[in-house]
Amino acid sequence: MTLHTIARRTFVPALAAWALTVAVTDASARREIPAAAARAALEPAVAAARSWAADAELVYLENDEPLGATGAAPRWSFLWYSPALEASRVYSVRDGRVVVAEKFELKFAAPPLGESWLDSDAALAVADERARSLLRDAPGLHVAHMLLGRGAFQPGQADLTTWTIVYEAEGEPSLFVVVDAASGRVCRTWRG
Amino acid sequence: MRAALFVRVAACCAFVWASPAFAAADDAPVPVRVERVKPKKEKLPTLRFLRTNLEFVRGRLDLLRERPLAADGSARTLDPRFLRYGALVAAAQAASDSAAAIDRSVAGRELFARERAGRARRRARRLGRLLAEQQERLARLQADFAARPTTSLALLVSGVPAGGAPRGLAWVREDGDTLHVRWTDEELAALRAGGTLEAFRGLVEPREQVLELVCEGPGWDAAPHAWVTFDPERGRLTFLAFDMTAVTPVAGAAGTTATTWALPRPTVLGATVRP
Repeated sequence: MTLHTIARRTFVPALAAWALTVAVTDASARREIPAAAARAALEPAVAAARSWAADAELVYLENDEPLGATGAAPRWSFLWYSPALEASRVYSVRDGRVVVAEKFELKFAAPPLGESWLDSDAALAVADERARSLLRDAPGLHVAHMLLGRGAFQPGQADLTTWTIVYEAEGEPSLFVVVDAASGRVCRTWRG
Repeated sequence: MRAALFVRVAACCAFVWASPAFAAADDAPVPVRVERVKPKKEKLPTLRFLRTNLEFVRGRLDLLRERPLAADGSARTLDPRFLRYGALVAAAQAASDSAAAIDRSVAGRELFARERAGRARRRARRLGRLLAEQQERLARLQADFAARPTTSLALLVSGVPAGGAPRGLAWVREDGDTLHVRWTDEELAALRAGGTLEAFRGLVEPREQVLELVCEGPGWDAAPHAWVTFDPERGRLTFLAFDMTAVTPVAGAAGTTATTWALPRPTVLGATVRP
């Protein structure tokens, strides 16, 4: 057997195996970021917030990237407030990791969210029913934002933690649907 | 033939083992790249709705706050009947107290008769409650300190350059918070003798982050800064060690070599704790 034959029969398959492994690794690194409901992204933000301040309280959350039809988004932001530090901090979570951590310089003293709240997929399902009945044939109807807050969007009920779902459609003012995050009941809607 | 086949298989295995997919992951120290230029970070927008509509949301939250209302605090003439009503209410309450005292006296005599029989049972129940409360306290302590591991960072410094060490080091976090460490003469002597100084130990956010490193002291003001990127794992103590042996006023902090490793997770009652 010549050296050329040995080289061809040995190194060519080895090189092919290596190239295949690198290609698989590279492809997995370029994969699409999975979307997740809000609660799935919460845990990394909780761990980060507890490292920043032991008394940090979650006061607001919002999708940072476009939502899917089921209330899942590739990235969510969680806003925390520390009464001891008198400061706020934002953690944005994507694919189970904190990708942004920054001070929130703007003054925003909001009450902490309730302990248990509906996840974004359940809240969107409730809001969708109402939105479809109000904007049935609106072209380009889609969910632009989902926000979870307490006290700001339901006048007269300061203790209520609510999801506010903002729908947009071409040529139409935005539709806001406020859903009680505890009971899953639509509290109010308005256009603007 | 067999030898050729063996060589072929061995060569395939060697290439596959060397590929990135099979890189070993363990707790041994790994080098950390010390960069001369601040790494660029992707700027991702956050809280877009809140930032755009902050005044509106703040306005709604302001409605929840208590506000003192204007009121007239000047004195007004009282109807004298209101003063007599006060005395009537006091007399009614005194009569009620007397009736209650009589009732208690009667009940007390009946109670004494039953007291001796129930005393032993009450003592036993109280002891049981005290034991249960103590168990609850111990469980709470264990949950707080052992079952909820925190993410923390320890910064270590070692090595003294031949041309003289800076007076101290500073680490600047992404949000501008700076930790300055200046060693005493004793600490410098310990570093010269091969010792390691723990410059910082504390909680850190479990995310990829960049730390700027600055050499401080006379003659080091113009020394270039350096940056290291590290990613502390959630629930573990991560060490970031800096060796200053090759640091000079010309190379600055970029002459540092850095390594990182993490302590194994703590255990509770023989089981490994996961965050």
